[in-house]
Amino acid sequence: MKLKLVLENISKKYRNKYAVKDLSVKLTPGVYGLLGPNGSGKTTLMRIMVDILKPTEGNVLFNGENIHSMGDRYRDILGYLPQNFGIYKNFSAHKFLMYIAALKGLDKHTSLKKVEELLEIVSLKAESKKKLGVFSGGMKQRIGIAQALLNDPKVLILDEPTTGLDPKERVRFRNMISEISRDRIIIFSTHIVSDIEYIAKEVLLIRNGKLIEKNDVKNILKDMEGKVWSALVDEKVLNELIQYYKVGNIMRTDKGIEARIISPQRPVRDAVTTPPRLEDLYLYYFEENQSDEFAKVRAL
Amino acid sequence: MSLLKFELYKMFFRKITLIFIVLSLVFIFLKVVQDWNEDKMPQLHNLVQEYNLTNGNVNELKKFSATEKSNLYAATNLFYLQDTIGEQLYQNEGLKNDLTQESNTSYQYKANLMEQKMLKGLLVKKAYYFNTWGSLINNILDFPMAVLLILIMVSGVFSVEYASRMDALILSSKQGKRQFIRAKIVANIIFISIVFLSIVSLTTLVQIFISGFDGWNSPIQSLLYYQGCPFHLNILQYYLLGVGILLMGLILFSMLVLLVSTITKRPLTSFFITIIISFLSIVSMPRYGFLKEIGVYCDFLRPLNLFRNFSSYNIFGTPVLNIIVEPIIVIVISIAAVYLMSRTFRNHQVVN
Amino acid sequence: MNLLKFELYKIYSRKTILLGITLISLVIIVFSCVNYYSTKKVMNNDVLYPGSWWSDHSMYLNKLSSEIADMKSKGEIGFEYKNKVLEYKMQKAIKPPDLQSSAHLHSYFLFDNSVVYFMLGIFLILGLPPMFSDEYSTGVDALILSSKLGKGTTVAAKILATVIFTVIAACIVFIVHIIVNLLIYGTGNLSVPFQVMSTYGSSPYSFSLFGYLVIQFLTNLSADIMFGLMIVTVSAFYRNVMIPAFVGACAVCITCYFKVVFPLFFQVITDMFKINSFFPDDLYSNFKAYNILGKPVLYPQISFVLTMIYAISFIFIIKYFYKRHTVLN
Repeated sequence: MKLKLVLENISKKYRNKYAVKDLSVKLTPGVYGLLGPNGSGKTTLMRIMVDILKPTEGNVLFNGENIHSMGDRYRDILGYLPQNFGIYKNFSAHKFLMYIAALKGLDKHTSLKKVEELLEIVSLKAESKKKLGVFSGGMKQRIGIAQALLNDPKVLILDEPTTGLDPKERVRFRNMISEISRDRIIIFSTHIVSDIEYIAKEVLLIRNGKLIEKNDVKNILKDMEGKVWSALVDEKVLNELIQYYKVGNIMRTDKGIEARIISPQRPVRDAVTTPPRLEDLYLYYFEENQSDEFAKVRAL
Repeated sequence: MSLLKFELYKMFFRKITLIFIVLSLVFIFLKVVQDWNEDKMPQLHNLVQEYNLTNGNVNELKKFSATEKSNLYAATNLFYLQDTIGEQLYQNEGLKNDLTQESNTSYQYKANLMEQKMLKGLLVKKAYYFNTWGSLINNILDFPMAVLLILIMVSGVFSVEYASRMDALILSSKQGKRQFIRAKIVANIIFISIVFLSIVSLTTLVQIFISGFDGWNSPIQSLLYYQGCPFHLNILQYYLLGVGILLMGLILFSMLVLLVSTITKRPLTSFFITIIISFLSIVSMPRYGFLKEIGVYCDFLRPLNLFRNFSSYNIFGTPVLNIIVEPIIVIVISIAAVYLMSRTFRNHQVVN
Repeated sequence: MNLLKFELYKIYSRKTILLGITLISLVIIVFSCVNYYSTKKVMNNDVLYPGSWWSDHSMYLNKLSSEIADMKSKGEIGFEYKNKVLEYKMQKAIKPPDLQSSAHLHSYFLFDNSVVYFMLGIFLILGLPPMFSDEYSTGVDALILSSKLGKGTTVAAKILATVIFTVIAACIVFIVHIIVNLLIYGTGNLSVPFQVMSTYGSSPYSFSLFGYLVIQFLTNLSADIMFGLMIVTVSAFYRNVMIPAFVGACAVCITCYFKVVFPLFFQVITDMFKINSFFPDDLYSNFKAYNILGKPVLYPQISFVLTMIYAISFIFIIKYFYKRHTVLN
């Protein structure tokens, strides 16, 4: 049976503010990247999908059944990595994973096998007997990823999974996700757009609790074609560009300042179009007051 | 089973548990040092025998000062035997008078009659020596602070999961609701039982080693303040029963503590509220109106309250002993606490 | 000063502090009412007449006088002699009571502070453990220790905040207790000698009931300050806030209810913390003096000095170890 996770008109209201507003989306097997600025509602949405936060309105359906009424059956096929998750500092890595395996209902034999396997995958086998209290941030994150995969989940929800990972670990993580994504629904949120660029089937853009776009990366970037420019400018022109346009990467070279500008029309005479990247998309949709922020940084 | 092992591991291998164990051992050691200095005990033992043989004609008794006599109340009833006999006779006379004044269909009449029947044959007539058991009863059955500390140790059982941000992981896993709660409750029961019974066993063995086994078959009514006890028990039976009741009280009351722990997000708040409610329940509350219901846990956390005097409840006009009614009330409250705890944790929303 | 304000704000801005003071006040009120109802039938209109202990006092004074004369004639003028002379002087200084006046027995309840001191101890446990533990657990310690005033000045501010919090808490709790009891029982006559309470019948101190109330409060306050500093000292060592809280709870239980024989060095803690009329305390109920360099020094004076030594020691320990604290995670 093909997996389907459906969010129907999900809203979550805290006092007078909506963290998520009227969000509907259908998810099938594959990797989905959830992209949005801080405070956009990504974590809230993920918690609702994991059934640890009740929506004010709406339902989450897994294969047509409400996940809340499914209860244990839904959590049996769920893997979740929260943002800023907790650990027991006096537990060793091995013991902690065994504990989570017990929570996931795995028998001892299976738990041992899976724990060993996953420690190998996240390159923590050598540190498995050390206490979690001495682990670095990146090592804790890898433990977090490992625990999410213990029960071989069909729905995998990862909230900023690559935080604290070095580039090599990030590549390993991306490859691992790609490998397992064939018959699973994987949703992960991140600020590191390259993670989404390489592995996500579709991107969900979320801002102020609302879904503003859901499409595959190629199509989204296609919409951006002709809107991303590259130009070699001087300081004065750069200041003007910052005032009136969204400016992405700025690189100072011997020839001048190479600026990447997002604009529907040519911003300066010598600007040339350049293939858009996901980062440009992020700036285009989410950076509203970039000029003010840049001005503050420059003032320092 | 696996979850239970982990929960037990989490409870036993905490610094707080270690501190409690060390403190308990230090305290038992200090008590041993203190009691080892009690050189009057062999003398007392002989005096009791002489008293019973000579019908109270013992000159040595005058050598004990008033302070010494009051300090030895837990070792023998020698110095207050006459008061005990007087009070028991007074109580019997009082009951006889009350029975003549009440209508024989009233609840009070039935209660008085029941008390009179139970007190028959329980008059104390001779002196007894029971140093070991008197000390144990004071140190175990009337030791509110040890009870409080045990309850404090279980106060953060759920709130610590919230504080350490493990709640998101736990609640999103298959066995993270029902089975997890069950494991916590069972681990809590096992933890309390092991800690409590270890302390009791160690203290009992140490006390027996120091003071011997004598006096175990003295009637409970020979203890100070127990002259009105309507139960046909000896001191050893009372002690064992009291330990069982105290253990039951700790386990049942800990369900309320766990409930508080599921509601509060911070371990320190849970800790504080536990102390307040434990203190209120442990300290003797007089039986007035609504306070009677608060006091019902008190009898299980200080078992001497259950045995010192006759006490009954009016159940459809029939007197039913407190020792039958109160366990039922306490069990019902505890079951309700377990249900609420389970619901609260299952519906906990991970917000931060 | 600025840092001190922030430290106090950190303590008082927690909702649990408001909850704590409310709950404690309620407990005190409930207990006072419970005491009133339980003793109403027995003690209604009972009064104490100050003269009842005066005759025993006169006899005791004569006994002391003859013992002193006896020792002097035998040439025994060592510590024991000086001890008895001091006691005699103190007992003689007690003015004769006004036999016309009386004190209500209910004034006992003003001095029945065991519940009050226990609740106060618990409230300090609620407020003080996060003093350092919270900084460690939230990771703010890295920011604090790497800033200019982050060591010496911060520690001083924290210590001062501890003392201020303790004093304010003690005052609030004590005032609630006094007000509730005065409302229930009325003021009565608090100017009679405190020897009117039978447990203090042989006390050599010339306090009135009111004077003893103040002494009781101040004695307990100094013990509270020491206790608060102890909790904060443990907090300076541990990230887990429950450890200083639990250690504090154990200390409160030991001081309130344990009757284990401690050496003087530790016994003074229990005596300073827990004093009330229902459990005859060793501080003021009898004459008790210790031999310090051949001279008799009164037990309350020694207790106070020892308490201050403990408090100062805790301050030094906090300062020493916090400055050397390493930020691990």
